[in-house]
Formats: sequence, C-alpha cells, structure tokens
Amino acid sequence: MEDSRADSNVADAGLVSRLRHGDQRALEEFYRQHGPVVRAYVRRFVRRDDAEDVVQQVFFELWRSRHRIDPERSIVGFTLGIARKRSIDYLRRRKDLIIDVNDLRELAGDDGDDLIDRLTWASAVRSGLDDLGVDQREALELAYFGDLTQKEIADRLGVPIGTVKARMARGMRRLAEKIEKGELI
Amino acid sequence: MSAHCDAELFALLAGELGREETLAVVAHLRECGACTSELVSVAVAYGSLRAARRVEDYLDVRGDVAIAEAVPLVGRDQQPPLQFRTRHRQRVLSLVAAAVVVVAAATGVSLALSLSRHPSPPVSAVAALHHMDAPVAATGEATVRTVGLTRQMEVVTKGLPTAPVNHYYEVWLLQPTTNKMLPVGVLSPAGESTYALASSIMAQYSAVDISLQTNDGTTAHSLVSVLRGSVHTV
Repeated sequence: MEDSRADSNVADAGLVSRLRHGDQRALEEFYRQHGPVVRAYVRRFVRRDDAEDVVQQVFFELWRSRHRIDPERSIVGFTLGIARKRSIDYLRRRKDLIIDVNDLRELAGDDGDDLIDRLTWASAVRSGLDDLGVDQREALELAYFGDLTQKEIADRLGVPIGTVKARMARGMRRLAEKIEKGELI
Repeated sequence: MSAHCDAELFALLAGELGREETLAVVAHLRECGACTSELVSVAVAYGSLRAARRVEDYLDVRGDVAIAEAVPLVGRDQQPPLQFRTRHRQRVLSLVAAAVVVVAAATGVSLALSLSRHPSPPVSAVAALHHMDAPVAATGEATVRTVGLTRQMEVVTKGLPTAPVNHYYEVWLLQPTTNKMLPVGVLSPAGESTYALASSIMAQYSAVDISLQTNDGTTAHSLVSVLRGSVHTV
C-alpha cells in the first residue's frame, strides 16, 4: 500500500521556502519537527539547566539567518551547525565547567562535523522511512528499531512470514531508490 | 534455488538464515544478476537504517536523553512538569519554556513561536483505550506522532473518575505477548498528557495501559488497569 502522505522532502522543501520568505509558522513547524534532535545534540555538551536557552538561541539564529539557508542542502544539518557554534560559545563562557575531553572532541574539529553528518543523515533516513507505505514502514521499524526478527514480526502482526519478507523487500527497495537518487538530504 | 531470492536478502544480511538457506541464496546470487543488483539496493537501505538506529541508540544512552524529549510547546503556567522515566532511572524533567520567544534587540522585532498545535506532526499510530477496571463510560485514545527521531505519544482520556486521595493514574507501554511493561509517566489530573519516547523503545511495545497507582513510592504496576488498548500503525 503506497502512502498518500506528501513526500517528506517535498514537504521539507516547502518548509524551507516558507522559512526563507519569513513565515513564522514555518519556523514553528520546523521547531516542532526537528527540535528534539537539536535539543538532544545541545544537551550532550550544555548543562541541562542552560540547554533550553541555547536551543532558543539556535532557533532565533536560524530565523535571523534564514536567507542563508541553502535549499539544496539539509536544513537539519544547517541548524545543527548553528547549535554546534552556540554550544562552543556556551562552553567558552562557562569556564567553571569541566568538559570531558571526548565530549570536546565530539563538539569541535572533524569529530564534530562527523557527528552532525550522522545526525543529519539519520534524520533524513527516518524521513524516508516515514514516507513508505504503512505496511512497509511498520515491518521495517519493527525490524530495525524494535529488534524483532522477521518471524517475530509476522507473529506480532498476525500475517504470514512471506508477507513480512515481501513488505520489507519492497520497502527497502523504495528506500534505496530514494537514497541513490539523492532524494534524502 | 531457482526462483529469485530478493525476499530473502534482508534475512541474509540480518543473520536470520540457517546454513542451508544461506548457501542456497548465495548460490543463486552467484548466478543471478537481477538478485545481485537487488542485493546492492538492500545493502544500501540496510546500512542506512542501521546508521539511523545507531544514532538513536547514541542519543538514548548519552546526553541525558535516555528517553528523548519531544517538543512540548506547552505553556509553563498551563501544565506542571511531567514525570518521565528512563530505562535506568526515574527523572523529573522540566518542560520546555512556554514558547520560544526571542527578541531581536537590533530591530525591536519580537518573534514568538506560538503554542498552536497545528499543523501537527504526522500521526504514525493510534490506540483506542477501552475500560478495564474503570466505569464503562471511561474511554481514551493514545495518538503517536513522529517528531524527528522520536515518537510523541498524546494520551487523552474521558470519563475516568478523579483518582482517590493519595492515588494517581500512570501510563504504561505494554507488550502483551511477553507482559513486558514500561512506565511512561503520570497522567495529569486533567486526564491528558503528552510523552516523548525514543522510537526504538516505542517499537518494542504494541499496547498502551493506564493503571491506578498508590502514591507509596512503589514503582511497579499496581495490577489495577483502568484503560487499555492495542497500538495500530496508521
């Protein structure tokens, strides 16, 4: 069954366009959709009590710099880049905090770029998964995120294992197409 | 194996095939260009989904987001802090500020992210909650939305009597086949609450349960379920 929902990348492109044109509702939507990722990232480096202030700074800066958003690149990655800078600023100000050297490496330098790349890609893959038909998405989520085998998925859903295999094969084929065509950014 | 083996490729990569099945699939792949090509596609999807899973696990165990928080754009004055429990320990988390309000000092422009609930993130699953040890008229619904890498579960109940003194209602995730249960959080006195869960955790449960708990410090399920329902993907 093919999903009737709009392709997430098309939706994201619309969101970016609206954001670039100053639509505050678009910023709210983006915050609602991707705020958890930004918050999780910031909290890795910023004290819990201060994290929300930093997240707000990030989204404010995203708004202020909306004209610099490249529609051809991931807006999640762009926002995480801002979050990285603001987290570094925070740590510079809070000289009283002791930072684990591994965390510092993860924030600054090449490791920091790598972490943002991985977060951005995970978000894009998730979007691709969410765009699949319900049956395909359900089977793949149970396999990858629920740690179930195909037999266990069949038992859970009450369908033959052949059906599960077929749904997963179709879902993975579709997801691979999206990835290879560069539809997921 | 003469027929194409595309349906077996995930099981091959995931290590779910036995020796004979593995050898049969491999022998077919050696001879079949179509299935070899399909294997490339499956490997691309498999690796990408594994990468996404690894990041979610990473967020789960690091950075104090064992159960990642969602985007509760609720008024600070409208709701008390919700209680979240991680897999490892309970923790009370403060909710996000009432709204993200930032002021551009240079321009004097005020930008506020409103508290509007529309448009909501896409609904990925729902559960109709039916009465168990509760009045017949009591009902509820759990709505699961995809919010970035997390799942946001909104529980709305109707007709539940006010919890007796020193009692409260608690929301759980349940896997009926194993009776595995995860406490999600306290249901607000208004009968409506929203919780955030890592999608990897949400995927391990197929039902939602609401219990009546005694406020005696016990964290286990009281065995008094008032509402329960199966989660259905939509």
